[in-house]
Amino acid sequence: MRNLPSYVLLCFVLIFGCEQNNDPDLPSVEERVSEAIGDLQNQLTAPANGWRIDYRPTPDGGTFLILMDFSSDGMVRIQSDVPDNDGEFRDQTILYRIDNSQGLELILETYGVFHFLFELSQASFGGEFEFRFNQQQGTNLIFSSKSDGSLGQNTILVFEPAGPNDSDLISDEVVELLGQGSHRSPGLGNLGNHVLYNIYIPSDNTTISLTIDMRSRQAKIHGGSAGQSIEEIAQSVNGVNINTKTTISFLDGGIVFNQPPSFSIGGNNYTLNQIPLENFNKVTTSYCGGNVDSLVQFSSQNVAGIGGLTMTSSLFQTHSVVTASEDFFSHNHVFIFDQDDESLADSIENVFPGAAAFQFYMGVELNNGDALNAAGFVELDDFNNADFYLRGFDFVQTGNLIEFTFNGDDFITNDDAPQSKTDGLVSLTDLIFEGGKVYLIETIGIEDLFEFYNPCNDYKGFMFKR
Amino acid sequence: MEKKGFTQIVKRSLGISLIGLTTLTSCYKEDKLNVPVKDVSIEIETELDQYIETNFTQEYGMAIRYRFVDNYVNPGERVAPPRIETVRPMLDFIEEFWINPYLDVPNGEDFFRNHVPAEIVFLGGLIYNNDGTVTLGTADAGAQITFTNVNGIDPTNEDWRTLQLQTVFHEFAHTVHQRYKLPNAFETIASTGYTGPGSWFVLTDNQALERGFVSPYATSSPNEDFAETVAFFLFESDFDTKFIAQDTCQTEECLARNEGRALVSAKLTTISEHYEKVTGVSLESIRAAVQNRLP
Repeated sequence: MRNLPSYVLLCFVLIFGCEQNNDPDLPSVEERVSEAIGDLQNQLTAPANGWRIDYRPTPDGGTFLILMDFSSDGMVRIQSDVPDNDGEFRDQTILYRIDNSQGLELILETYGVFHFLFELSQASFGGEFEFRFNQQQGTNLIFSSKSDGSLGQNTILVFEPAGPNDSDLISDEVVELLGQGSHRSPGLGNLGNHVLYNIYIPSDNTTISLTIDMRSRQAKIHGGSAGQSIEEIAQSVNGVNINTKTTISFLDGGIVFNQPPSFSIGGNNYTLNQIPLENFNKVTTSYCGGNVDSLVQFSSQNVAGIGGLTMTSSLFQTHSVVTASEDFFSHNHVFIFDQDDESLADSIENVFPGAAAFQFYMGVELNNGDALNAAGFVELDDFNNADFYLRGFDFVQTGNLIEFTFNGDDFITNDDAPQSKTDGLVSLTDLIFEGGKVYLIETIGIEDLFEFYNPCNDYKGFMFKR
Repeated sequence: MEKKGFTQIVKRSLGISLIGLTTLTSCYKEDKLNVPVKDVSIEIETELDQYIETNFTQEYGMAIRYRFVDNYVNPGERVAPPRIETVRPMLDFIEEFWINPYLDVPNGEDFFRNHVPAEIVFLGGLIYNNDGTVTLGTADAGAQITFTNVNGIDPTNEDWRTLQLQTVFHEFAHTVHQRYKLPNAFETIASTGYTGPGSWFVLTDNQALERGFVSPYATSSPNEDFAETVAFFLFESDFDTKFIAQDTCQTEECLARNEGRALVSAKLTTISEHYEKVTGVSLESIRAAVQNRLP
């Protein structure tokens, strides 16, 4: 009870404090909220050229250039460098509103580019379309995401007044063309849209390999080497494993490396800041037995610090994190696909009804000191006991290219393996590895996940490094 | 000690509450706490909004919500709004395949107007949940029906059409048992087949049929059974073949399915009689009106 006087006193203070400041002309809460909403709307509609947002949905990913021009009638024109859906997001007008909930909120009410990014990867990509207004900083408006697919990492958005020519910086056409360098079938695209390119610098006779994840806008520089062809690179002694990641942006028709990687190849030093993607061409090559493979190529003459270069899509990269080692590759057998992107699961289960995995061993040391190089399947019985059906091979590796030859009688199976299963193993591995070449392509957005691609018959699949 | 501690907590709470109450009530007598979250002043009157106002809100007392409001979904559910271009085609779709069939049949218009949900929500995509599952459609006690995947609108696509018709006929069927109860002894017809809200999803379609249900979800409760049976009967072109007609059997599984079909048939008869008795509308007539519109 001894605290009661304190509370009573405090109440009096509050009451009289309020009375003293109570302005009979002070607007109601409703009016003040309406005024605050109106103020923010006035701010949003004020800039002559709208707002520029260098939008990074996730801290790990790169930047999307977005311009927003708000009208007082509840419409907002949004331009972006996201080329998806046949260019739908290049320039569109949608509805917005300003709410007052826990502070002022900007809600993009109908579908647009922000919603597209929000929905990627089953709405876990990290995009957002509801924003809280934080504050004004100089001429900028600062918002934060109200809800965020990337848990615990609310995105901060800086709205800067756009310049009159900022729309010229939008590079959606270049992004779309660059994306054409993907060898992955669109039907398998749920893992991102990775493109592998080789930059060739003729003045130094040097090739640099990089993968770009077009969806998250990250790039990984794999390595570099003297030479241009696979044969020249295989014989080069100047190869460098670079293995560096950076986020990227697309601006003014070029690719910008946000954390410019620096490296040295053959005594020459390079820093990749920005590469203009000019002079687009489609060229051809053959990755297997005279098959014609279509490639995408850009060429630039005046790249700062480098000079002229070509940048050509490829299956081949000069260096790979995949090496002969204790690691092996394994994944559920349903993730092997034919040339039409149909899973081989039924064909595999016809031979191995209890099939549980496809596995690929390369240089795994056995107890007797021999190296195990083999590919095949794991089957589980009713008691979850594993039976292995593997077929041995010899291989030569150049970068991410594995060229191999199956050894006729080299099977790693149970002693009592039925002939029908070894015959099935031979026919399935002959089919999947027809031509004796596969490229192991790193998916940089998902750790230890690789795509293997057979250029001889367009079979492909996914494997995790274990 | 615990009691003393509890008393202190209560005192402190009382004190804080008193301060809070004083603060709220003493300063601004005219203030209201129910200030609308949405500022109506920027709610534009587009041609689309006017069309909705005339043809749905005024005509049926049915509000159409296509602009995103996050409380249309539960916390943790992630979904995007529809493209504005899809809204009018979606309105045409629900008018053609849901409203008009009721208007076409005797007593159907009165029934529809008297039972129409107050709110229809359009969502652009599917609803993604934190546990990795996807929600296809939702409803709220007959007051709100939510259509998902409006951005994928394609009435000629059977999968898309089925999703929407199953949602709307299922949810609209709930209004009947909510207002008029289930048919007498309905839950006894396939009484041993019900599962529960937490276990229905382990059944396959065939297992549900063997138990006497049109879908696994129908086994979750008699109310859902009623709604699923009505919905499937209205939109499923092959309803008779799948759920009523007896196969010539040579296997136990086939015989079990036939037994299930007999139970579905018995339930449908009961539902149909009850539906016509309490609403004055023939379920068979509505089915015919729906089926006549399907491509």
